[in-house]
Amino acid sequence: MSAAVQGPVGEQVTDEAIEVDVDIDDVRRAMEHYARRGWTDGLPVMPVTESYLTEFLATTDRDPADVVFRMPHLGRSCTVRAAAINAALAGCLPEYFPVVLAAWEALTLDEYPGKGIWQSTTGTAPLLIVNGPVRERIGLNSRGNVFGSGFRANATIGRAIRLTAINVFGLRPHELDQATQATPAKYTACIAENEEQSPWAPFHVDLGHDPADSAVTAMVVRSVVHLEARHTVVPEQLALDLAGTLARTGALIHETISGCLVLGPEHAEVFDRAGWSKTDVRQAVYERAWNSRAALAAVGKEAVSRSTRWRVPADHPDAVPDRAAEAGSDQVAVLNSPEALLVVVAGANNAGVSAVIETFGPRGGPPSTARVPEPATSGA
Amino acid sequence: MARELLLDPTGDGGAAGDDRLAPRLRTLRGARIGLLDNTKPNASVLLAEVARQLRRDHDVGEVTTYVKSYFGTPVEESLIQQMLKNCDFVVAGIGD
Repeated sequence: MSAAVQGPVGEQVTDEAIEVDVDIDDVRRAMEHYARRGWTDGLPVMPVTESYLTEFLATTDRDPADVVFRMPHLGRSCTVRAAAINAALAGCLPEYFPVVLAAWEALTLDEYPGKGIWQSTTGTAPLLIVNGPVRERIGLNSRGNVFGSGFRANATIGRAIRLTAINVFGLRPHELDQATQATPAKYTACIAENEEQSPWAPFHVDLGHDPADSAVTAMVVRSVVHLEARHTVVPEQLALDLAGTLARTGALIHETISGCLVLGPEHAEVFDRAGWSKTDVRQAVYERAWNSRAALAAVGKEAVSRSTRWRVPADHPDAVPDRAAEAGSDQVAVLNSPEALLVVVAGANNAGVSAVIETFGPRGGPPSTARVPEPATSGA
Repeated sequence: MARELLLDPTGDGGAAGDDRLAPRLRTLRGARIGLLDNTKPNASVLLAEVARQLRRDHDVGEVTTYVKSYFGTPVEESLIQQMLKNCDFVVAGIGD
């Protein structure tokens, strides 16, 4: 009966909570109820009742009937109430729900999710990056294993988005979700920035939020590619390594790609010690991330298609020259601008390891970000 | 111990649109075809071949191509109205 059993993973469990007895038939009946109806991602879900839902709805001023996300092409929308049911189902604690709502707000600002990208053969997933005091308050991991398992807030906030996609929007595999292979991030993908071990201003502050505020920034991602560079303290070498990872031709569906560098604290420090700001890092990687025309031709991606600007061979019936060719260059940048590359710091400060997140679309515009309201104080 | 019903997580359910099939044509002879190009690579190539075979094998009538503004979103209502007015049937091609 102790509240401690609901704490984040790893929290001390009090003595009285060590032994818990249940009616296992009842537990199984509840689990199977959801599983049989396909209201899950394949893993067991937390049973939700009206009284439990009330605790989630109490964390927001928003009306349960407010719409948090629409998919006009499906004629479907999700309300605060439905988002809360799915957050509870995902295993969120009620106090996580404001982050989930902010995530939906950020996802709404992104042009792709509302246009069917979550159903696409490409197989993308939403990735959430959380900044600000809410990280500590609810136990979001920003350090070691930041993309891994073991942290309830990270695991369940990301999963809340997935379960909503499945249950409210009907995006089930083999049905309205036609991903060819998809990504493990489809189970859950929510990280926090390691602001404490970053030499730079927090990511959300770059995006215009107040440092004292919390925020969720949403992205559409296909891959998280790891980068090993434990050997160097030369910023130009590290920038080139990151650029080479970003420039792989396999990522090129559109004329250009976009990405988010998730720098481990050690790598961020390599840049900072050399006096590089995040803007300098973006610029340096942008300048080094290119393919030769010959390298693109070798994989049949040297031109773009007329309407979609997807990469195709020059002899394709829809082929037109890419922008670099129009400018007379055989050096083809993979990013349309330094702004198509974002930089955050996350992970443990224990090795020269970083990740390049491949985000979907050419991008370059402002990232999709939303503030997480502070918890209501008494009388609020 | 209070017992409560488990909640349904699907929200207010799916779109309740009219999903009945349109009446089938009795013959393709002389019928006006619309080709709806979703703009993906190869869509226009595929649709042109479909039209060629329909002409050759079924003696269809006038062929008009329509182009979606973005492949991932529904066809604009104005385009639907044009197709309703000018076509007896429409072939939607998904290039890729």
